[in-house]
Amino acid sequence: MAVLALQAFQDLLGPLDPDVAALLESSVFRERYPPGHAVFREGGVPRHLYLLMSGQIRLARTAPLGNQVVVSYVRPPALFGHVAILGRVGHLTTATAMEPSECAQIPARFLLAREDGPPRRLAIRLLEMAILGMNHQLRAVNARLLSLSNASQAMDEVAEALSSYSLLQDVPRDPQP
Amino acid sequence: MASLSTTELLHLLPPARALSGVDAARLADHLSVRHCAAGNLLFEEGDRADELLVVVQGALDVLVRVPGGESVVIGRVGRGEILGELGVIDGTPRSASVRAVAEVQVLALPRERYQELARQGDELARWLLDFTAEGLARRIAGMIERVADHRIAPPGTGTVVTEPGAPERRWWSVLFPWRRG
Repeated sequence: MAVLALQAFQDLLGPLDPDVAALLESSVFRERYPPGHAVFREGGVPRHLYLLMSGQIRLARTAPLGNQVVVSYVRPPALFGHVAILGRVGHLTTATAMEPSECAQIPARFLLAREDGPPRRLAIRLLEMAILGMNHQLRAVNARLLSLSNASQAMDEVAEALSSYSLLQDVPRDPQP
Repeated sequence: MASLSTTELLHLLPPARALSGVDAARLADHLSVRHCAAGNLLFEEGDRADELLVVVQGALDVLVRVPGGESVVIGRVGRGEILGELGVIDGTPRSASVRAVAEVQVLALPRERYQELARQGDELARWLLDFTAEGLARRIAGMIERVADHRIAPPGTGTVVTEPGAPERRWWSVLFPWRRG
């Protein structure tokens, strides 16, 4: 168990009771991904909630013609993998490391209301973080759609900036004229 | 519908049927009913976010301001969907404006009440978050599908990758390979 990974979650969740911190400590682990490595693949069963600690992750979905279309980029610190867990579906995108990337991972069951889930206060904090993360992601995907729908509005670089999200990058940059 | 109590309105939402009678009654005690006529704004981008809102009747357009001051509709929400979750959790102002398309009825939970429930680790807070998270996940899933359907993007936008891990290319480099990706 990597202390760094636990610390990353603690930074996100705020102060935790000792028993909750101990539970997290035994459940969180850290994984490094080289560039080009798929963290998860579209259609796969969601097994973990990921917190990106460093690097960059690309989320892409297969289009009807078989090509992959970039949906958004994830920049640290940010959660990903939670949409499939909370939507109770397979992964909607393939997550690929664009550069050496490091994630803290916790089991998907921590986000679900199940008997083997975490204590309710921890579940509430995790869900709050996941909802904040999804709001950032929603805005990033919205911006991506807007840029795809309105070619005159955005140049490529701007479209790319708009489609990235992070818990720090609260609001995507406005496109410049 | 205007004469229904908050408990009765709550039970119009399928997820609420999973709540026990006691919990539903407890939640209803914290809720108030708000109405919004067609064409009116329920709230505006930048407003203080002091309530979590659940739509029980009607539909609303979600609008954001784009550079130049114009507002663009980016989505529509309807019965059973939650609004204002971001501000209730972290206190940030409304990130979008919401305008009623037709007569709207919403249930409102004040931010302080939600925070109290969350602090106490109350099952109601957990239920509200589950409900919100599922709705958001569905919304994102729908939008991801729409992005993928834009595979032949308008000029100047869109990135196409031929296979996972392969170098990215712009869409025109797929259609016109003599042009640089």
